[in-house]
Amino acid sequence: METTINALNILLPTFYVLTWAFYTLLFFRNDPFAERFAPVLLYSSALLHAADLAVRTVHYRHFPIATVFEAFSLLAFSILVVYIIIEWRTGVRTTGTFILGIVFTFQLVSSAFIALPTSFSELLWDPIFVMHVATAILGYSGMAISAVYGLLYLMLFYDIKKRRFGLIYKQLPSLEVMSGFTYRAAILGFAFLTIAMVLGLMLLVEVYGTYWTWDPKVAVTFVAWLIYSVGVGAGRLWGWSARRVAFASIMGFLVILFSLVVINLFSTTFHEFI
Amino acid sequence: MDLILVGINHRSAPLEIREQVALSDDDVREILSRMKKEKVLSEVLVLSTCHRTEFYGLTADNGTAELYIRDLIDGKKKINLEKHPGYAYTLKDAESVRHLFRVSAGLDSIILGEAQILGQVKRAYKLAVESRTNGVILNRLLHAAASVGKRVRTNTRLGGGAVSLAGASAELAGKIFRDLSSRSVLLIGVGEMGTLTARHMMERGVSRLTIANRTFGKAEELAKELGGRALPLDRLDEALVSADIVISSTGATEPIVDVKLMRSILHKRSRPPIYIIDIAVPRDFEPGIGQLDGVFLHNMDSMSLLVKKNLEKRRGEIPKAETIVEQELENFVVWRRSLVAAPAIKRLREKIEAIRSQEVARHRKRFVNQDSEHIDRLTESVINKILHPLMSHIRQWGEDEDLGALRIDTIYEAFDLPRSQDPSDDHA
Repeated sequence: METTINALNILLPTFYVLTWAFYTLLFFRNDPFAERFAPVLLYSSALLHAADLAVRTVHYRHFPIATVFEAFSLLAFSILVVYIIIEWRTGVRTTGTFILGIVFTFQLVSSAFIALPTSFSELLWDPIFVMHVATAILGYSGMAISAVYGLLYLMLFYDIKKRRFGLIYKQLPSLEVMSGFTYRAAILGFAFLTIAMVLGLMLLVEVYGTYWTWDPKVAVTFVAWLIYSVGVGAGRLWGWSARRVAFASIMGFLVILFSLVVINLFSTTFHEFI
Repeated sequence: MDLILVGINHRSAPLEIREQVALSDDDVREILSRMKKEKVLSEVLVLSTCHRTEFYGLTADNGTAELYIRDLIDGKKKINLEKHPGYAYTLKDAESVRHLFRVSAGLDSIILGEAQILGQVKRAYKLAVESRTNGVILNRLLHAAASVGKRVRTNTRLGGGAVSLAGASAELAGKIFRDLSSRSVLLIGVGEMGTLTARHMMERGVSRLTIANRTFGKAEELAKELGGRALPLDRLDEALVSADIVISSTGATEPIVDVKLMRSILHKRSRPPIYIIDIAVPRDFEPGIGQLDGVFLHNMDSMSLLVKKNLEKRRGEIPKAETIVEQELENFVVWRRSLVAAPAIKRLREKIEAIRSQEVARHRKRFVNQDSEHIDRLTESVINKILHPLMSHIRQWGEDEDLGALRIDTIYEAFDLPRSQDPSDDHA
């Protein structure tokens, strides 16, 4: 079993980098070969990743969310699944390269540093904790995808304004489609992040008996949540343009990314208090 | 029998000659029935479009056929090809096949990659079928030409991206809005270019059109023609509030919309952006309007830039399209060569079978009835065994470009096989 897990650990980033390469080729060249094999690789990677998560869960007897690096792999998988849904629903393949780069990066980091935790927190068997992590990961996925589409939206927006009819203009679907992706992914991310925060608060009360903690991740995530709620939610109600929503989505994600990557560099556990 | 093509197109002759030579469907029918009677060519097809009139035929004598077609064009359209022989070109065999394939692919059109030509080629074939001037070779040729056209359209982007100014305006609209059918167009002024652009938008699915013009009557007239509603120019503000796409081409000497007015209009609008194509010279919309959020302001310079880029992209697809043409040409040539072998095989088999059955019948009396079936089977088997290697050789010779025909001819002589005038008879 260990051998299978180790093999999968190397295979996964390999598959992702190949898939990414094919989608990149497809974006730049509309290569018929890439057009045929990119989706095949995409689905193969997803299946392989699902198998990896299942094997890990069964063999190590915990859902792979015990460490940050296990969570990164789950995050990569979750982004991939959301992307597959988008591609399947719209038939647009030319944006894949931008999303799959992120998927590959998260999986690579996970594969490189993944190790069994030395001690298991009892929380791992608490259904509220599992839901908290699962919803947080779905929330992050939605936000990551929203930010990528938001960025692409802005690139296309300025290309059209400034008459730059290059690759971005040629390959991306319309601005309205891009803003739809940005907005819907942000809503999804925002909704799941909200649920994750409520569940987190419940855990905090249940386990530590307090309503607030000055954990940097909680604080930063709260800031990101505010940006999303203003930019994406209320902004829409006030009639903000799609361009501003795209900006807000990118800002929100940058804050989340900061909380995920930078803060984790200085702390060994996901939250200060665990 | 060789394929021959005599034609006139935009490369060989000036526009006035092309116009003069262009044939209507009825002209084509008349010419085809005449050619059928005169029997200089055994199969004929006439392709005639605005910029191209081409005769494809099958002949045993290239020289006579070429003169015959040239005379026919002269006689019908009086352009004196004798004086200007360069107006018409003549291509033979593989060259004529390659030409037709390139035409079907859109590689030979004035506008590279345009799609109409394939329909026109199919139409020309239909007319030949109606007049019964088609035959085995042309059937196969036109089938292959259609396949070239289809493959080029699906596997390359030779026809991708708009290459007219009006088409480019509509293409850009498709990059801003997802579905044009739910969008509305406001046409300001009734100029030719603006109207053409509006038509392109309608072709792309736009369903609501409003036409505003200083002379209200003209707006009403055009609205009736295009299927929209007319509006006097003094109600422009309200029209701008509800429009998604604006095409402006008035003759005004000053901008009709300034930044201030546009700001107040944007204020009243809901969220979706507004796409303005300012065709007018001098411009109808103050250039500063393009800086406002939610406005995409473009003029004809943007469109010609887009057309230029699209043409560049189309040119980049030429090698892919040429490869498809060469592949289909190769297939066709191989098939043509196999036609040389097929009749020889068929006749040889018929002749040997005739000898066999004749001999068996002659000696049948010497055997008891029960054995006659065995005799048939035995003699057939012996003949098949002897003929098998010979048949495979003939098939191989058929694919040999240089000596194949000569070798097959030896078989005809050696076995004293009957020859026919037209090898395609054996395939009809």
